[in-house]
Amino acid sequence: MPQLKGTLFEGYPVSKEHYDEVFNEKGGVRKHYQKVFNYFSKLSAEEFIELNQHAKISFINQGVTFAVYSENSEGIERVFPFDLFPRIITAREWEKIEKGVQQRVQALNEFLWDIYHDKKILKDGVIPYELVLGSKFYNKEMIDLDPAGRVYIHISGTDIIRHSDGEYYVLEDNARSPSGVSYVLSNRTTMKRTLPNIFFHYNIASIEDYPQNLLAMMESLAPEGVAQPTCVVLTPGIYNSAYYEHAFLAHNMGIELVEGRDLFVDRNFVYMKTIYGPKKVDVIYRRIDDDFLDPLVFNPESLLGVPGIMGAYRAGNITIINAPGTGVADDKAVYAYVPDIIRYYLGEEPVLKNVQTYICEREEDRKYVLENMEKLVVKPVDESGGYGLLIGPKATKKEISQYREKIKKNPRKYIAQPVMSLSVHPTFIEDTKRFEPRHIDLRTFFLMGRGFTHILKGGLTRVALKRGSLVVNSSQGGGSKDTWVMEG
Amino acid sequence: MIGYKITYHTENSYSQTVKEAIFDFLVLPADDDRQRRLSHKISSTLKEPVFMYKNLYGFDVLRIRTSKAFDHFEFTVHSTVHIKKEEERDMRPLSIKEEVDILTSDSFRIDNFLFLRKTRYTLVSPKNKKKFIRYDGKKHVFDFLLELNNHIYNLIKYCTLSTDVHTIADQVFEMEKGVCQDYSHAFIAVARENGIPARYVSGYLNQGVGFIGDTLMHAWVEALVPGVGWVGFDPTNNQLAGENHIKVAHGEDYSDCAPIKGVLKTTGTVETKYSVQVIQEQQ
Amino acid sequence: MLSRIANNLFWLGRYLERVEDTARFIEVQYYSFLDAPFIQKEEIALNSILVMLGNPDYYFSKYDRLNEKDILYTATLDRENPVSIISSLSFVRENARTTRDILSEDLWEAINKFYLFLKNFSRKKFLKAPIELFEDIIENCYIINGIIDRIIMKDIGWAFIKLGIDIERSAQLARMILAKIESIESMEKPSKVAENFQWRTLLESAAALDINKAVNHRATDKDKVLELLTLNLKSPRSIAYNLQKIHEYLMMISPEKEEKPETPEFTAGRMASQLKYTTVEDIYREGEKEFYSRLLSEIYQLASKIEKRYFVF
Repeated sequence: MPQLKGTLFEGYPVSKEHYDEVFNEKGGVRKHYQKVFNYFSKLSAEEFIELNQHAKISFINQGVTFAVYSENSEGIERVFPFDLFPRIITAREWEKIEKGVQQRVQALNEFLWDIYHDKKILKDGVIPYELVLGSKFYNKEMIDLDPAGRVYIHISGTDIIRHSDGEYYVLEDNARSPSGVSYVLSNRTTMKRTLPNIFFHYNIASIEDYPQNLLAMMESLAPEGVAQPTCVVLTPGIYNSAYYEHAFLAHNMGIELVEGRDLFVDRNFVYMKTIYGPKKVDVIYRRIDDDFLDPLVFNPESLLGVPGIMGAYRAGNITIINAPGTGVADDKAVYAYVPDIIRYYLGEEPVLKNVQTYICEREEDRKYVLENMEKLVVKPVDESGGYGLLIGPKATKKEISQYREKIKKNPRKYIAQPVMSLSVHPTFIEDTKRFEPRHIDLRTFFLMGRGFTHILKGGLTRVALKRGSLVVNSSQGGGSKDTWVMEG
Repeated sequence: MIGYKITYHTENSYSQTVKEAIFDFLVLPADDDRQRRLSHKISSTLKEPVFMYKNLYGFDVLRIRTSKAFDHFEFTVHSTVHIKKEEERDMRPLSIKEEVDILTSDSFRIDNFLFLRKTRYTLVSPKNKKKFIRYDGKKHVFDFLLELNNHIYNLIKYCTLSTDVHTIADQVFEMEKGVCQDYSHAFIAVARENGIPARYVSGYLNQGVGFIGDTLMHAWVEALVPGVGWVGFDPTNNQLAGENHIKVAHGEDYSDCAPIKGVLKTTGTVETKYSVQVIQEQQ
Repeated sequence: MLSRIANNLFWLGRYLERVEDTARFIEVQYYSFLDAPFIQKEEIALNSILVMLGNPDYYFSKYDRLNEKDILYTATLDRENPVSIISSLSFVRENARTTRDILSEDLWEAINKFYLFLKNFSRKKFLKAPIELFEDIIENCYIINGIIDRIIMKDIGWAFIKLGIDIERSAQLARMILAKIESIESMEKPSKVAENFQWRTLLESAAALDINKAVNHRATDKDKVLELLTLNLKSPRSIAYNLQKIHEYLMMISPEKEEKPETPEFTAGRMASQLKYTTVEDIYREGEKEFYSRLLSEIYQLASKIEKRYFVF
């Protein structure tokens, strides 16, 4: 038992119902955390707060801020809450995560190829075809289209949690331009600037080469016959909340950050408007949704997209990253079938577990959900960012009965899962000037190109800063931690 | 074999100068098993080359893009096309039971999913579905479709003033009025509701022989008859589509077949005129 | 470089110069006329501010008559007036915002700070001591210009900002001179003293009073002022000087090694050379009004040539 009295950990409750990443059930410090723990337990609250201040300034200096611009707001720059106590993942645990993520994304990629071509998995009855073909993300423009290298999910962000049984579970697959990687990189920079010493004690994987890998992935997918492709990042513009990330990635890859109005299509090729004339673009990492991509094809009201780009895409003259129509693969209803999808295409057992999922469209499942709502988390299948979900154990009777009606009205829209107990991690709380347990998850980042894969060794550990809260999304009051993967 | 000379012409005047524009025209007669496009000639007041590419369904789209300012735009396409003499097809080669088995099989429904699903244009509320007719599996699909063609023809009154390009099938059943586009969406809604794949067809109609239509483009329907293939129905005229129907394109609904689509940089409004001329060639 | 970015940088420069020129013009017009040696001076001063802004209709849509306070407010802090100082400054900021990753963070911060300062300035506080605010505005413009000249990398992006600043300055100089000629014409038989007073305020509005002292030593007259503000190649406050600079920036930007006819750099070079070999007598020979109107329209044509060459496809 470590001595906690008089340290920032004094009074730290070691949980029985949740897995604590740092402390074991007996209250001892897990071996891989020992040195970090020793470091923090020697600090006074004042010292720690000063370090925290340094970290904040480091973020501001790096420009890692988010600001919501509008006509009336003046763009007050805010920093995302960051916790200095890093989350550490052992080499052995990481090996499993890496394998599991890769396996999942590869299977989902095969799945996408199949449902946009032969539809074997549907004809074999592995997944109800209405679920897939009826999804609002099923994009008919993708039918029979062969994307470069047969890759659809170039960038994925698999969200992983650790349950009270100590096992990792996949919570969701993000196959549509997942965001957050700029925070991962900035978190590491900030940690190095703020606490350089503690890096001496650990041999951890480097993540700084992510932008280079992202660019290499993009370049590997150049259209036929293009030796030195011109790659760009396409942003909706400065009013988008993730604009900082778009600019960060473009800047770190050394490529142009463009808006829809900077591009045009001529004879099924895409060009950007530069001061020296049109310059052909070959690979686009777009951070705008499918619906806004091509106003000639999808949403005619969209001013963000590039009219005609889908024609250029169908002609094979441009690579779009991620491919349109990948939303079917991270649909929360399809999630329930991912283990079957892995078995079907790869003939392997899933490495990472799936959370038991009830699909309200199935009568049997719906019955169970409607009867057990107070035990379940119910989610709309087509929302992300933690919006519109009901956490049964925390909801009032009235909320539950209202939600029940919503499910009955539109069962296709909902799935339910048992409440997963996210693991906890000591996190410094400014109000109490102490470390307290807070729930965390992990977003991984996986890249797939033509004969190219790369996983970022680390990820975005998101922290639910409100006591007891399970919602880690940054839009809902979450913070983040630097994430270390130990080598060897 | 019948030959046609077809002219599509459009004129657009803009209240404010257009700075940049891109147009897609889906107006060329299709070149397929039923008809051959022999030639086409395009003239445009925009001094830009016209680019041709194939859309999702393989139909030729004409694309024009310009970044030279303009406030008036005319576009004309002349084409010649030959329609093959319709061969007598056996519309009932399978037994009724075989037809029903095919229609209800998963693989058939998966393969034809696009033409079985509801779209924005073919949506109908439960209230108006009372005006649908039902396929009971006791007759041949082709016979049901003929009945449906007749049903839509009798239900809807031809009227050019009550609907526009945005009108959806539900409104058509509500008002029981419309033009060829509305007849077609209504037909499609009922066919799909009964599990029969149906697709929207846009094209030209030889107006010389007393058909209903006008000097604009025409629309009809193709439905998938098990054991036969796609068969054209023209509910506006209560006819099968034949030698007088010159197809341009098909799709899920009107949105896949709009003759002109454009994205423009301008702040003003537009006044559009267009006309179509179909002339049968002398034998 | 993306055309949109270059365009934004160009307009950042133009609006920045417009902020400074407008502030100085209003300040000088208004305050020098307080001790002007002729009557009806207030009306002339107020009118000239409206003319300089270029949209008197806007003012009269809100107010019935010329009123000192209303005019000062309309020209400076009225956000609804598209040509007020605050509006121009908000365009500076808008243009800077989209180019943040290209510009230095210092420049963005200075612009943003300046904007917030002006935006939060109350009408009451401003009208109590307008001169202080004009001086603050001009000072802030100096700071930003200092960052542009001493902090930013002198690459093509920088050249577009400078191009914007100098095009705007040349155009504003031509406009101010033209406005002054018209204003003197409108006076009934002005005395020599009154006329020279007018020319002196012009020098002040163009921030060329000190330069004039160094060059001309003695009291000002029309010939000397026109010469100084139009033809002097050493004064950064002359049109000829600015056209030479514009030519330099365009040469920096141009991908071609040689100047070809009809290109912006060729046009700017020709305009600069023509001015270099022009005398005040030439100006009188052509007619002052004709000369400056022609020059102004040539500057605008040059700007639109730049736009066509680099910003549009």
